[in-house]
Amino acid sequence: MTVLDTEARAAVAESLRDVFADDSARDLAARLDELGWDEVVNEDPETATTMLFIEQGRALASTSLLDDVVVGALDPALTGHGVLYPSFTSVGAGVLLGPVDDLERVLVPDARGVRSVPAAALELRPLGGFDRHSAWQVVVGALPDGERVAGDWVAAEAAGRRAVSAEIIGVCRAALDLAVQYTRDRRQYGRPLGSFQAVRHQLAESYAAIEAAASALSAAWTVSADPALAPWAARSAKAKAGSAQDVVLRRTVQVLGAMGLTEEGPMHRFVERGATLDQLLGSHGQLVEQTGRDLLTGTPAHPVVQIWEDTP
Amino acid sequence: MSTPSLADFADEARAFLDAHATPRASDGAVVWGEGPDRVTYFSDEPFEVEQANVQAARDWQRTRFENGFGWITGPKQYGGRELSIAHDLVYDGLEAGYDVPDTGVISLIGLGMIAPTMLAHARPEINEQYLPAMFRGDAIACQLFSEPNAGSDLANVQTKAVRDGDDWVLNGQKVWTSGAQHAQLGMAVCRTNTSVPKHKGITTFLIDMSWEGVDVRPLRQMSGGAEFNEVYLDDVRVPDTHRMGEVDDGWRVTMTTLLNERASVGGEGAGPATRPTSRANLLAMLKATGRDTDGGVRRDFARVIADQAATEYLTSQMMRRARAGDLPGPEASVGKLMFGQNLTRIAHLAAEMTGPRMLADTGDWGTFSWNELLLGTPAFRILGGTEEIMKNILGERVLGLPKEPA
Repeated sequence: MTVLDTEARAAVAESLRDVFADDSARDLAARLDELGWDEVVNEDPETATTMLFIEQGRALASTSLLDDVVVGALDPALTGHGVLYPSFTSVGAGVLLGPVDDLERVLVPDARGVRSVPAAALELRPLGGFDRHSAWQVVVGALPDGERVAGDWVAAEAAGRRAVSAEIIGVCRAALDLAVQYTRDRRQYGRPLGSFQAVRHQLAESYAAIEAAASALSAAWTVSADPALAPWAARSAKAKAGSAQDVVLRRTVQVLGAMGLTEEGPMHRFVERGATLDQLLGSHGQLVEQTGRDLLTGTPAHPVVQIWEDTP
Repeated sequence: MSTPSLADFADEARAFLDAHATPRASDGAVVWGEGPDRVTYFSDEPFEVEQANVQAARDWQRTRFENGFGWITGPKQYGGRELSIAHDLVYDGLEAGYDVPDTGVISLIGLGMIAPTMLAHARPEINEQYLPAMFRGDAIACQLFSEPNAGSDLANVQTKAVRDGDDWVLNGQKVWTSGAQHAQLGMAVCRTNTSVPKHKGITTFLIDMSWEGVDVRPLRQMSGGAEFNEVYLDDVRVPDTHRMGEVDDGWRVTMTTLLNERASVGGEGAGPATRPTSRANLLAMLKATGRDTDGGVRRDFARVIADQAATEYLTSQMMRRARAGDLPGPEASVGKLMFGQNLTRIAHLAAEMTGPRMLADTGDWGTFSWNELLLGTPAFRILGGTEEIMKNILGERVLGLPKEPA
């Protein structure tokens, strides 16, 4: 349930923007501590988590904050562990959100649950590829042995999906803001680009897609405490956010014309981050396919296991 | 010499190709996992590699030209053969069976868009000076059209051309100039009169890119390479002989190029991406990824192939008419729209087939390599006139709908 009022939220959003814009040496955790972030989270976890990840998406920041969300939902006693996310590439055992220098152990979900492995034993290389600006790492080589830990991965994964959905929404909102500003300022045929229906319709469609994703995310939060419904709702929210980024980034790139295609402008970064976040914890294509299959077979939702096994 | 029959011409062409090129190893069959897997429309090669590719294109174009296949339909006085479009078709069909360098860097803009404009609007002595060099591969040409404030609204160009004796002095900034880094010639659209409606105060010039005051600066695009450029014109002196068309009547000249562009962009096919986006390669990919039993993917595949075939036919007809000197009409916008739509759909089909592997560079043959085309697809919806402009042209010029309210 949302507790923070509009004014409080605006203040929080502004503080978060400062946190992500801060390029001093202090790490993100220290900056959030300074903000008293834990208190905000305790007071209103939905608003706090959603806002934090929306701002992370807007800022195109690449952090390990998602690990805290996932581990927190799994077992708060394990806080400080890293998380190995199911691989979405054909090589490697999975994806880490960054290097493991500060980590002792990494939690690895598998078909039987979750095990904890020593971080130092993992062989990493940067994910690279499409999104060259992320800190993400691929774990290559065999995974070391580790002990089983208690905790419900399905719930943890649902929490992760709600957070990533918010991050994708943040990426999309920033891209839409950029496109709106550009089409207001840029004039052709003696009038702003945004006054042409062909252009404004694309922006309106983008807005509608983002708001639909945001609604799905709010809906997912309303059942977040229900172990039967939370995974389904989180999966739907993530699918909705994933398809929104596809709709929004295609259109915002288009209305920027050639400006959207260069590396000189920032738009390409949103395209790259949006597409990569879509893959994390299941792409919209995979998630709707899985939901369809589950509905047909009457299976309860255990999506990660399925996606894990389906990955070539 | 009388016009050779198509059969004689085909023999002649075959003899030429056998002497100068190697037949393609296979009949287009694709072995999945073999050979290069680059999928790119825009070059993002290191400069030296790109230079070597451009040189190979020039060399092959020269070989064609010196043997009578460089400008099959062109006027004899400029080095052409004055043969029919059918002869041209026969040659293209035969050459497709050989491994020859891609000459798109020369043909797409220079030979496909600017040469027809020159034939229609430049002085004979200028055509004599430049056209043979262009068709010999010596002179690559670029369009100095778009400006920071003149994109879709091209008639809003601000680059000034001021008369000074027998010369004009050009000042301004052009942007999104494809291939300017390789070009010897540029066609510049300039403002010569500010006291009349914008379409009526434009004059076009042919300029030598090595002239003093021409400065080319590359722009990097998100798909990797730096194919297009900013071009600064700073007190560039242009002899009046290099003017194309009448003073202040340059919009008509520009339209000749733009209409040829719409036909040409689609007519060249997928350029360097032709092989990976071919039916044979997509089919091999469908099987290799095990998606050939998926009804949805099969339907998308079939749709792409059908659209590709239809577009190829449409644009080849249009381009051949353009090569023969007929100015394409506003319907050329259909080809341009379909071209962008097809390449976009193919990139998405490939994304669907390879799945998320396309996003990470895993070293898997034929997977990540597609991401370059995927990142390039938004450009197909922009270059050569945006989709929005193409649709407005079809709505207003072809369907006769009223203009959008200002």
